[in-house]
Amino acid sequence: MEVRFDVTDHDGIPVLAAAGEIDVYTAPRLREQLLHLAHAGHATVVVDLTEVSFIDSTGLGVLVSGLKRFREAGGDLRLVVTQSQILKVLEITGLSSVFSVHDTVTAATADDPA
Amino acid sequence: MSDVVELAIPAKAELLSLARMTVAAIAARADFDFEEIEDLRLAIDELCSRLLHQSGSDPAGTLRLRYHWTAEELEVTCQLDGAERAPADVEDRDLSDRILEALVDAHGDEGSDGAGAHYWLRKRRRMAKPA
Repeated sequence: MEVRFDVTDHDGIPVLAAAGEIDVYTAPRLREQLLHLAHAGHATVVVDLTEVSFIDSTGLGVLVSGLKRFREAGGDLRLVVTQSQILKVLEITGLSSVFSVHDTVTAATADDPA
Repeated sequence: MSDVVELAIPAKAELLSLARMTVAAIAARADFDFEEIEDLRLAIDELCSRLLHQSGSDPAGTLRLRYHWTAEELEVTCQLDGAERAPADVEDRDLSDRILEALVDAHGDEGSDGAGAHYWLRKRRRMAKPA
């Protein structure tokens, strides 16, 4: 029960879709994927957590680090979340107001800042 | 009703999922509802992750979990044997604290009593809580 990643392009915005469980063991792989996208010169990325069944504080920490990096570069790291348990974890950690959270990839890629 | 299950696993990150699976199975047996089971999976993961952070580069430790449940509540203690206690990695500790505060009724750190680092948590069944 590990984690898989798949990157697709949506009108120039990379969408990193994760599937599986993100914990202390698999979070480093999420970090690698985000660093790879940052090094490739992308300012904004979307992380699709629709198929993620579990995420803990280590995984959230990786997303927060990624958010800081992309925002410092003038971009953003947006999330797609539909699982109620993951929405709940974002709420209780206060991160739901830190991240731009969407329920579909289409909405996340269309969320252009004014 | 009162039962105890003990689980000992090598203190390796890739085996943490076993601690989560075990608490899910026990919580289901103890009649916790689906959301509470998910809460417990995450809470146990947070406790064990703290111990793994503390074991640092020492892979020789053993993570010992003791799950004790009654009709009203489940209590889990996690202990790391055979590894020196190092200062906790504080990077994600704030997030971890908020998660535990929200998901369980009580949790704590008994400190090291010579037997290794030791954390515990307690969660009451929703149906067992006073209205």
